[in-house]
Amino acid sequence: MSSLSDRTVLVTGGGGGVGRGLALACAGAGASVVVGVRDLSKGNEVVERVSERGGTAMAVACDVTASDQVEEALRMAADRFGGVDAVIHNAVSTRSSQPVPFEAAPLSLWDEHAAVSITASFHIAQAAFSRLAERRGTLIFMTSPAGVDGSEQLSFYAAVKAAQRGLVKSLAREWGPHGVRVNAIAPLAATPAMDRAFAADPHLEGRVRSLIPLGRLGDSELDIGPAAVFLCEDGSRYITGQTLVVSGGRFTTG
Amino acid sequence: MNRESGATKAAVVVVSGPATGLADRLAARLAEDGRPVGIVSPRGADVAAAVQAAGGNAIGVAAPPGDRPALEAALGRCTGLGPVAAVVLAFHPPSAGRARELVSLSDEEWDAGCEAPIRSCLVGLQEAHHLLSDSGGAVVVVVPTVALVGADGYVAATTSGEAQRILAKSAARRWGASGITVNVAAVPLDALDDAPDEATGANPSGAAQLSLGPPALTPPDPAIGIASLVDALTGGLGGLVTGATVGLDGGAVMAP
Repeated sequence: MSSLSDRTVLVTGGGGGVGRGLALACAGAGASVVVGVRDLSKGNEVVERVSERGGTAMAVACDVTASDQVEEALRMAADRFGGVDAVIHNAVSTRSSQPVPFEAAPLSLWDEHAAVSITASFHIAQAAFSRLAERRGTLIFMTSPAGVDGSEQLSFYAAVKAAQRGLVKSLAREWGPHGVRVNAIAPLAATPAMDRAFAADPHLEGRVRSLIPLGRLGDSELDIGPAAVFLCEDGSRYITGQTLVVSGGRFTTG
Repeated sequence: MNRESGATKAAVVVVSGPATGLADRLAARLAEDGRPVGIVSPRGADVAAAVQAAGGNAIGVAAPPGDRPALEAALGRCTGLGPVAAVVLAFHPPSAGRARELVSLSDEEWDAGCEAPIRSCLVGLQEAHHLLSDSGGAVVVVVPTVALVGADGYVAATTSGEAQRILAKSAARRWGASGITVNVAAVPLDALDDAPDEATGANPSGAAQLSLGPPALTPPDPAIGIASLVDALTGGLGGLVTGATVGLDGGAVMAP
């Protein structure tokens, strides 16, 4: 029996990058996976991949900046699979990997980042609470090592990821008595954005790899996905309020 | 990086949002220590008048939190005090100490308790950079210590505090070469609360303090600690410490 058999996991931003890897990993562990996406065609591609492997998944429209879509995605997940055991908020602003000129950046750019990572985290937590409490489930936020260390270039991204870490610490205390665990994962993973950066600068990949003790960027499904599976399964039932850094040893800050 | 020496102290500007209690006390303390003080807050003019009545040198300006042109103009007026060595940013809602379950918060309450203070801090950091970019200086961002460890009922405050703390770290990384240091002062949540319980007069943040444990020391008013931190960051530690979080809660939180 797989570790997540009879469990339902909703992954926001599950159509590509890290989110796709999380969805595939959870499905591989036996979960019924709900792939929340803005573009259903990308979600359906993930669903097909899961199906090819013998798993179960469905795609739902879920722009996390629209709270009604979040609520509808949760309702559809519960209707189809009988409940929701885990929600993984992975979606980020499409501009999350773009450098920000901190001292001159407009507030409108901040608002774009915050809408997906802070306001949406609030709405997702509110919408998911009762369903997660019913199943003694878990809420996971995909944050970043930048949310611990700060970032000279990606300052807005770092701050919204830090906000999620702050949310995790208090919400874990608040929801612990209800049996709901709240954690974060801070991955360092190969992403389409990083692939584009490597293509633009042939030397960049080598420089990045040289900073990682394990010598490579994480694979979304094979390296980051298992961390999410672990936080969804019973083996982590005594873990809450934590940020699990999955970075090949690149980041060791406590 | 400007490093002060001798008896003359450069000005410090204190910028705060709707909750002004700690900022008011800090401004008064800085003035007692001989600092020219700029106070940018909803009550700035009143606080400056009080400081002046006590023999201090102060300019008070009201600027709505997060209003970039208004803050820029206010900081410009504060340069009338002479060279500015430091800017302190303290943005918190008046009821920061009041516990609320996340599921009970309206969108408006979430924004007031979490996201609006972050936006104000961001604009404050940007304008502090503009003010200090020529001569260098120190920026101090004030957050509650619960941001470091979390507390039941304080999701909005901790989410906001951690975002502000990492904005400060990112700014520290970026502006170090310009001689601007950016550090964080972490203070007890009750020090940020301007709205004690009407019935008892007590500060309502006891629940948060319970999750932190007792302090190792008996902490004085955090305003004294922040004033001392500003002295250090513009004096002997000028240009030496940046991106750090300094706990001013008597050791209740000893997070790394």
